[in-house]
Amino acid sequence: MTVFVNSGSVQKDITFLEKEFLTFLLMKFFLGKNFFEVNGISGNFEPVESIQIGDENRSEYVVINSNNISECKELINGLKNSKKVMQLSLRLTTSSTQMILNLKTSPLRISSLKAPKSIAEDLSDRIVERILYLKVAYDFFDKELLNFAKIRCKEEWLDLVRDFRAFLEGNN
Amino acid sequence: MGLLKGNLTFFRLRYQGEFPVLIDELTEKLEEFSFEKVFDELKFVNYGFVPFNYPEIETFKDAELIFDAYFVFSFRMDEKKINKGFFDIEFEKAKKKFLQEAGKEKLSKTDVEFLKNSINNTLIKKSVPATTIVELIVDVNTSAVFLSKLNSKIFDAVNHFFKAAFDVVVYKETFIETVKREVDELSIVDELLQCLPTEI
Repeated sequence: MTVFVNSGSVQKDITFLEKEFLTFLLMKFFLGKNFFEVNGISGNFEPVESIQIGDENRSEYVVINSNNISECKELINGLKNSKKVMQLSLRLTTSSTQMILNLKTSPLRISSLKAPKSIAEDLSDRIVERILYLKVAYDFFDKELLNFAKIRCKEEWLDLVRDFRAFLEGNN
Repeated sequence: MGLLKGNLTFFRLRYQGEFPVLIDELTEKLEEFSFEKVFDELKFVNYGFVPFNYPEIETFKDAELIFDAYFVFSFRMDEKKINKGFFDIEFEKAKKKFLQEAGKEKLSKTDVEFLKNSINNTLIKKSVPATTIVELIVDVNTSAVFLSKLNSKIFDAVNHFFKAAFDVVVYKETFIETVKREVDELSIVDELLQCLPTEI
């Protein structure tokens, strides 16, 4: 789905921002800035399982499945060749739990969430615990989206991209 | 898949309007628009609210609705389909019988409509529906509704009943709308709308 906004009298396609947001999350991971804190819960995130990258102009899409995404040469090479991140699975790890959320673009959304089963005996406690996991996932998503929006048009974005390019160049 | 077990995949929608926060008012509205109350056996599609742990709990009067700061209930959607080939055979049989009994050689437009309606009604009553139960979590603090399943039919049905029951309009939030909701400086959104793609 293409996202258009009215910019003066011209409609502008801003779909690229969704892919840049997922790339932003990957950049933060590779540059060791993958910490988060939401509602007093802190942890870190890392890409896992699968990533879809591609080039829309050439209609080229590749799904990379790997047990060790962070050291996957195919991913590094794809990013070096300006491939965009279309889909990303992230594992959120806190001191007490782990969750895996899958993020998709067009439109940008959390498309699936694997969270721990509650072991509470009371139905009400089980529901509240699982809602808490859901809230952590969405609050993480909102907060990172805000972090991205805040820097995207600032010098910080260019610094981050420059550092990431240096990282990619250093990974031959 | 859902709140109690399996994947915790829930899709977030937003709503505009005042969702009822008084438990008596909410229970009354959910009961009024409950699946059991609005069910019509002659409809192809039936939908309505049901309690979270339905069918164990059948009415909202006996259901728990508040979990921490959230309202939790479900939405049931039943769809019936009639196989076209089967319908055509039944229509031919009914047509033959009708012509014999009425002593006619040809069916009028009204006769055709009458026979089609009559066959539809008979077949709908007999057919088993495809049932979908969607779990809903309403967060009134962020005007959000989380749904355990989402497709265009479910979206339209949920939107219809949220409007009818609570006078609330449900919508899918865009990327920019999410940013707008989170930022305190609107200039950030304006700048975002003007920026160009970055070549990584």
